[in-house]
Amino acid sequence: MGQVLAVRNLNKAFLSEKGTSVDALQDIDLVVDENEFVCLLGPSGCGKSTLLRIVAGLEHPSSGSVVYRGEAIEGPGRERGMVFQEYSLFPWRTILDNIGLGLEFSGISAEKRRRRSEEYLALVGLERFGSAYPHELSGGMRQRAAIARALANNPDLLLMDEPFGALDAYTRILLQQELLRIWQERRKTILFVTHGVDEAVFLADRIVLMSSSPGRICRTFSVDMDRPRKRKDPRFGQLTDTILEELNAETLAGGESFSPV
Amino acid sequence: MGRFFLKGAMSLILPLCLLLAWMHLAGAIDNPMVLPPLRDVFSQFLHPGKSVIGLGSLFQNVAVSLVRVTAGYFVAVLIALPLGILMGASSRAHGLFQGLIGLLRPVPPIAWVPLVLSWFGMTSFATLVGLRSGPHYVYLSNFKMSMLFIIFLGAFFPVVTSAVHAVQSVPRTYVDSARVLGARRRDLFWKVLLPGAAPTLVNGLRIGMGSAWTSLVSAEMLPGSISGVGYLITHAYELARIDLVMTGMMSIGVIGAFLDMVFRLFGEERFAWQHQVK
Ligand SMILES: Nc1ncnc2c1ncn2[C@@H]1O[C@H](COP(=O)(O)OP(=O)(O)OP(=O)(O)O)[C@@H](O)[C@H]1O
Ligand SMILES: [Mg+2]
Repeated sequence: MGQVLAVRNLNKAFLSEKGTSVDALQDIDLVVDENEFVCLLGPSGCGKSTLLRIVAGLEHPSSGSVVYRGEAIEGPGRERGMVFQEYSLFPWRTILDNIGLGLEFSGISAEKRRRRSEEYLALVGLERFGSAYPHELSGGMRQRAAIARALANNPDLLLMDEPFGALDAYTRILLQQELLRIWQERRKTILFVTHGVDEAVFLADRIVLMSSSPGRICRTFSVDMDRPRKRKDPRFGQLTDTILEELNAETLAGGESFSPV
Repeated sequence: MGRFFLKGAMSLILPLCLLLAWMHLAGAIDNPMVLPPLRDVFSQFLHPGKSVIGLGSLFQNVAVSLVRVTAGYFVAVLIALPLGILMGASSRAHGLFQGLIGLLRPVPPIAWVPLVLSWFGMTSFATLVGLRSGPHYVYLSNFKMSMLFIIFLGAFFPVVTSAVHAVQSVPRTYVDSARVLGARRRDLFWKVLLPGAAPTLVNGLRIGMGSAWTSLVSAEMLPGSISGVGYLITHAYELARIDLVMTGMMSIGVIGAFLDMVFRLFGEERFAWQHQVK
């Protein structure tokens, strides 16, 4: 199995408003293999989004190397798609035109674009909403559209920043299942950020635990359960408990306590 | 559609109340210098083609003013809109122009009058096309460069300022997501920044139009002005024709409000999406 992503000795410091330097990420080492589903799990502010943005090429590391398939990452590229934590669909475009955005940037003809967009629209179950505008959709439908937009560009590595964070528990579970189906069908590699322990245990091959100030990787868990995973499986609960304990031990200094979801 | 009319009717309630109050107060005060009777003012609107105090008809004066405002405004938008968009999109352009604009903006257009007069003198559209006499000359000489410049100043700063703001307030996530999808600089400008800023840009154009009308009266007070609603107001005041002063005020109000409404309706129709974005 080949390495898709290799992060070595990565450090990232931001200059704050007051001019002092804030360590967002310290000594990050992370390897993601072909077709792997890796979850980054950690408390708010531990640098999960920053790490993802660096891999996407939207932010530059202060030091260290970030290598994608043997080449250092200099900037954004189509082969690394991203689903953002914030709302990111263009409100002035229909859902279909949003999904076709990446294809439009690469100069693919309108006819071909429409066919591809419709295919991805169907993949996320939004066939009936192609001509709707984002504001006419529910939060869960918008997230599906954002995922379809990233997928339609046919990225090799998919970076997802808490894509289901703002959804209700039921919709979230539904979309988790759909994401796994797409991941298996399309043979993608996924780096997925979450602060839900349950979500990470349900989705990931490997869970990378981070702690904050400065943001560091503190432990890694392999999840050796067959899919589809059952939440009532005792191993599911055991792993969730272990991770929660670890997280609480890590964040005890910060006084933050972790809940399972 | 029903709601649209209801809203329209709502916004007419207070103007109608004002007219009623005017009618009663004018009767009670009974002094046309303080408050002329409503019917005197309205009779001017009923006969817009009738010549008043030797200045031509109300209609002609309104038309002249409308052309002046449109011309000054048009030139202002032609420069301010691209400049503002450029400043919003490029921090280098912003750094270059920001200081100058910040210094010039607080100066009210009317303070420019002495300078503007010595720069442009009596130059008008007629001078530009090389006319010295004849009926066309009389008409075209109404449009003095000095006046257009004052109106230009009135419209320029609101448009440029709001264009900068419009482009700068496009959420960064839109730009980031486009870059990740493979957008080049050209795509970012035409397909992200411009459409994202469009509603605020149109709103800036609307504010600029209002501001252009506000500086019209200053412009038409310049020497050499012999027509226009602004001039009508000044001249009627000198002749103690307060009813005509009010006719002029109401003409400006009605036209301004109408143009404002056109901008608003266009914006609401075209940019329905923006109200639903958090
Ligand atoms: N552009 C920036 N300028 C300055 N500081 C920043 C910037 N972006 C992030 N930071 C800081 O870096 C740290 C990590 O932020 P980041 O957004 O990566 O956290 P996160 O793990 O994604 O948190 P959350 O779970 O809340 O999304 C925070 O302390 C934040 O204040
Ligand atoms: Mg984040």
